[in-house]
Amino acid sequence: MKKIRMEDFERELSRWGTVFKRTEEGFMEKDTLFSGRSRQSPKEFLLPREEVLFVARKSKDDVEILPSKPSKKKVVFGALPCDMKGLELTSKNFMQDPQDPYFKKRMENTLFVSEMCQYPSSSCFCRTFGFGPRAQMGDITYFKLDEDTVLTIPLTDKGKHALKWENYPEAEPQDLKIMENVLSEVEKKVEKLDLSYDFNRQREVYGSDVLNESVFHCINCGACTFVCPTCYCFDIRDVKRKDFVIRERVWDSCMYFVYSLEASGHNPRKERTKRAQNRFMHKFFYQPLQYKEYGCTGCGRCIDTCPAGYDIRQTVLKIQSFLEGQNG
Amino acid sequence: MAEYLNPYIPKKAVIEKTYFESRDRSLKTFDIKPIECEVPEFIPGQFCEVSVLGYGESPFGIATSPTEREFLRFTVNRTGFVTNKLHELPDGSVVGIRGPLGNGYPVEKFKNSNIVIVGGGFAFTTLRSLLVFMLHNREDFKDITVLYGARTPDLFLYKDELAEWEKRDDVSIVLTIDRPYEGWDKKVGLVPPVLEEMAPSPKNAYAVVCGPPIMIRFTLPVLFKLGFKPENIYTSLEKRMKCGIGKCGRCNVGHKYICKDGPVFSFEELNKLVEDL
Repeated sequence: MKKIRMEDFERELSRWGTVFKRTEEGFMEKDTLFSGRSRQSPKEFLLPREEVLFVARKSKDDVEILPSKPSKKKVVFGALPCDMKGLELTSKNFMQDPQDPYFKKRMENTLFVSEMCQYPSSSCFCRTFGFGPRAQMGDITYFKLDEDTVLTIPLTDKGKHALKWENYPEAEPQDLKIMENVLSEVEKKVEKLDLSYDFNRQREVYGSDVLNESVFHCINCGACTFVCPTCYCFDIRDVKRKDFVIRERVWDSCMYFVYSLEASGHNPRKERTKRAQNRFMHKFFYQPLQYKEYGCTGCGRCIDTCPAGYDIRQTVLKIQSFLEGQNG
Repeated sequence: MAEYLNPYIPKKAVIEKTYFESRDRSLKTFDIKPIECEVPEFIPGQFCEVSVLGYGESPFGIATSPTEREFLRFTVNRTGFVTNKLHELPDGSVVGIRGPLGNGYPVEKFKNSNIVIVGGGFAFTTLRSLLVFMLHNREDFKDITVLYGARTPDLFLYKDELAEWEKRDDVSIVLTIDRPYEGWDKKVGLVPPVLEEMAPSPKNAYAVVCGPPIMIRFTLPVLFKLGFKPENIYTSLEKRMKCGIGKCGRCNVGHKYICKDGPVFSFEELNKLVEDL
């Protein structure tokens, strides 16, 4: 690992693209880096809240379809391991066949510089999912040794080319020792749930009394879906102007009645709790079946954000003991 | 970014011809032809997203057979925002199409088997595609039986073709309506009891069931009673869709997406998924 002054590190990275730093709210063009997990994950760098798919210009008898402009080069600076894991899981949806060209272009145009986590909170449970505060993810990862210094290493070719790595000294053994000690302490503070249930038992869980009761206090506000680093549902809509139409995609939420409302008036998830159940099922059954990985990173944002005090950890533990009980 | 690599960008197509299927004008058929390319290759049971720019897009099953490549046919029930606008468009209007999307019926698997088609209402669109495909490749399939039910005689789709098919001796067509109707001299009765009466053999047979959920719910027990196994019964599902390519998240049944993994599923597959339709 290289030892670099924070100032130099940032300056070099800003040559690759506009730097967006972790702030309390989200990732923004700010001077200071927030010491903690941001309220918003950096998913909007790959899946913006609103994104133009194309513009259709109408002339007398014809329509001209113009693809949207490619995204600008950006550096996401200080993404935590749970943020990076969220992007990795979201990528599975967008990068599998057929590849999503907008998402792919944004991946190419974004440099992810991740920070090893020193900010455990009571809602964190990332270690449940096979990674943790010391996970090295993204194009470049760093450990914040102090306010002015980082220990850093490139992880991809993109990361290797972003900095003149040869100009910087190697980290000293005592630096690495500090890093090791700090990260071990942080790890101890992060909860690890012991999950071992069969994802194929979806039919026993969805619609069951135990799941229904567990999600009962969800008010379907959708806040968790917007702060969640792995929620990616979107709506497609047409915005009509005088001579042209913009087709765009916007963040959507499975918590809303209209999300699954059909033209006939039928809605498979017309009950409030069915929608909350579906979100839980997606993270803890459907995505594991699709991708062999949980659809949750344990970042804890949903727990911190929920106005009704819902804690997804309680639900998954309840479901696990419910399934165990069904066995015996 | 090359347009043909972008699955979100529709291809321009022209509405060549439209006609009402029912006197109440709720069901309208559209023959649509791509402007800048050939009619794409597809499988019976696949669908397209049809765009009315400025209003949005909706998924419709392709009613033409892969053996009829002059245009794509869709029959649209006037219900929501996009379908209302689509119904108002005059012939010659330009729309957008994306597709074919979805998996389609397993026609290769169906070869050398008896096929029982059970359809209800305006769900007959992709069943027409399947039936025309099988009749065109008639020697590849054994007995073909069709049971098609509608509320009233007026609500059958493709009435002229049904009359033609009824005359053929290589396909057995049974039409039934829910209640007696003046001038109707064919079957009267709901699909499930009529099917039970017809009692098609499950031997070397596949059943394809498409229709309103209530019809499917009561038809399945009849098929099971006749001895059809869940893996030999197929259906085509519908749910609200947006992207049509398994990205936007909304049409899932369990861990499967109707738009991408379906819309055609066997009941063996559906039995493993949650009930969320």
